[in-house]
Amino acid sequence: MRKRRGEKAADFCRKFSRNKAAVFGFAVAVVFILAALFADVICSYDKVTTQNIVERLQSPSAAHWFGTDQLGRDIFARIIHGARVSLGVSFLVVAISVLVGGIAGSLLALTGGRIDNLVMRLIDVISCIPGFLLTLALVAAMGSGIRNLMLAMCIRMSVGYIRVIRSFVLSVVGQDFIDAARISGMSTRKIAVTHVLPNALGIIIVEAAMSLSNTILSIAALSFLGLGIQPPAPEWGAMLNEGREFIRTYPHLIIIPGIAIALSALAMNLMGDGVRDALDPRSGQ
Amino acid sequence: MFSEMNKYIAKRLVMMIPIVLGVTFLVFFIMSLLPGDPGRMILGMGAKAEDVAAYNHRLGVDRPFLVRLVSYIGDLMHGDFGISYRSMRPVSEEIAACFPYTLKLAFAGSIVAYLIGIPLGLFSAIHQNSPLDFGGTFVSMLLASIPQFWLGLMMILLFSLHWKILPTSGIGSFRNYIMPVLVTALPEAAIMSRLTRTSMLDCISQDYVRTARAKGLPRAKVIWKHTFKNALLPIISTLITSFGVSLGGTVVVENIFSIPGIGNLLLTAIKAKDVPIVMACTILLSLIYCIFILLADIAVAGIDPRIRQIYLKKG
Repeated sequence: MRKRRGEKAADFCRKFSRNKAAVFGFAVAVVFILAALFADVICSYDKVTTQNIVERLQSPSAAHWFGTDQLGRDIFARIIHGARVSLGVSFLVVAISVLVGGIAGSLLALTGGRIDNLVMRLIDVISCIPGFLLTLALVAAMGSGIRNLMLAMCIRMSVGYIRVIRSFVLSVVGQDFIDAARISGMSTRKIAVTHVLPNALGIIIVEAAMSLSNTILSIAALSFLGLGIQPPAPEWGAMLNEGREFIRTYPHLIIIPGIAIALSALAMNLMGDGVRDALDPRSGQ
Repeated sequence: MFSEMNKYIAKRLVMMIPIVLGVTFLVFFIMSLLPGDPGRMILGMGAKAEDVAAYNHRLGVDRPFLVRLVSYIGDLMHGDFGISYRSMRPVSEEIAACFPYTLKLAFAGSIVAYLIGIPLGLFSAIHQNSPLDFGGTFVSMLLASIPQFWLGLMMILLFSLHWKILPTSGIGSFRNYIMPVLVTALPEAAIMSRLTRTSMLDCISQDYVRTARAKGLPRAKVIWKHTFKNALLPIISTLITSFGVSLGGTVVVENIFSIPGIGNLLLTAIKAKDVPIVMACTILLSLIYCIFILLADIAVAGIDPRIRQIYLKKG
């Protein structure tokens, strides 16, 4: 069993590394993640918040690689520390949603009955509200800010995961090897851990990887509209919003954060596609 | 065949009723979480407490949750969405004034998206694994990754401020709509092209396509008649649904180009805690979304008899 799992991982790595676009995405993602992890080492947090009116609105130079903003803060430092906020929040939202969706989805599939029916009807209703609109409504009701934004995003994403994982677990449960395990006297919990989970792992990873870029874009958009993460936190979307009034005179204020968002979303998209192709048993040998 | 189709449509329509009620209930519930005091908001901080209480009583917000919900749904049946806290005008009037702009934007955006996305995907699929395919795939991947609001700002920077050929905002003429429509369309075109490509490739590997090729049919005929026709099913379904999505997704675009549509109305209302407007916009846009999902399902069932059969047998 263990050997087979090792083989699977090696197979995955081989397929993934052959996909050049995915490797490129992975490399870019690693750069961003390292920047987020070692933000304090690269430049101190003081530079992110300290206002320096004398040095305001400078174009990129040797002293300030990406220039300075309307309050004289160093944009390079804000982008680096912003990676921590933008990517950190996105990763956390996806991780929590996958966990909630995975547990709730498999529980619903394994128990079935009235509770399953009730929850699924509720999910049907929630799915009828377009995703971005649902997040907007939730943020409107709970108020903006990092915690409420994360909660709203988690609610929206979990609903999708519950659906996908529930139907996947249902399709696994119906198969012969589960019946065989049950007949041979295995407990439901053991079946869930040894048979259902390893099978569902692939689809969970694919779903998570594919939704990362969308999460990054949604969070940036909400912050851009002034409903998500609030200034002075160095979130990329919020930075773009703050720089908007200087579009005529100092376009670097909006060009640079936008590139950071687009590049990280692109990296996640390429990586997600690579992960999906590598885990898909139908894809070529 | 017609009676079967009618049966299917009737069934789906009946199922819409609980969904619509459910959405209304859900939105009403979410909005009731907002700790608001509309009387205080409208009359201002200087007003006397009795006046505020009397005002709240007149608006009916001091009643219990369920009573408010039932009366709200009752009013909705008559097309009455209540009164805006900010402008004190009927919500339905405010929405009616904004809706045409959003509709125009979403409609034109979707059309442009299909016109770019579907041919691009077809082209990629036909030339699979050629440099052109990689180019097309990369462009659609890039468009799916660029944040819509940034794309809009960059277009303003380039076309309005640098080259000065298009107006930055407003709704005066046709030229005002060029950038908003493109910004709405491009991310959607990216999705459409990827979907078209995958759908075509799925069909190309089918046995009947191989048979058609083996018996010596011309390439063009195999592509159009055997592959594209079959690949069309998921494309049509997404095409219809995505129009519903783009109606709700114009918030960002309207904000950037200052278009006085539903999106901007919703955004202003959220910031001003104008609950009746937020509720009405959310319910209305969700309703339209549901209708488009329904239309997509009906279209797919109309084209593919297998889906109709599965559904009728199950229910």
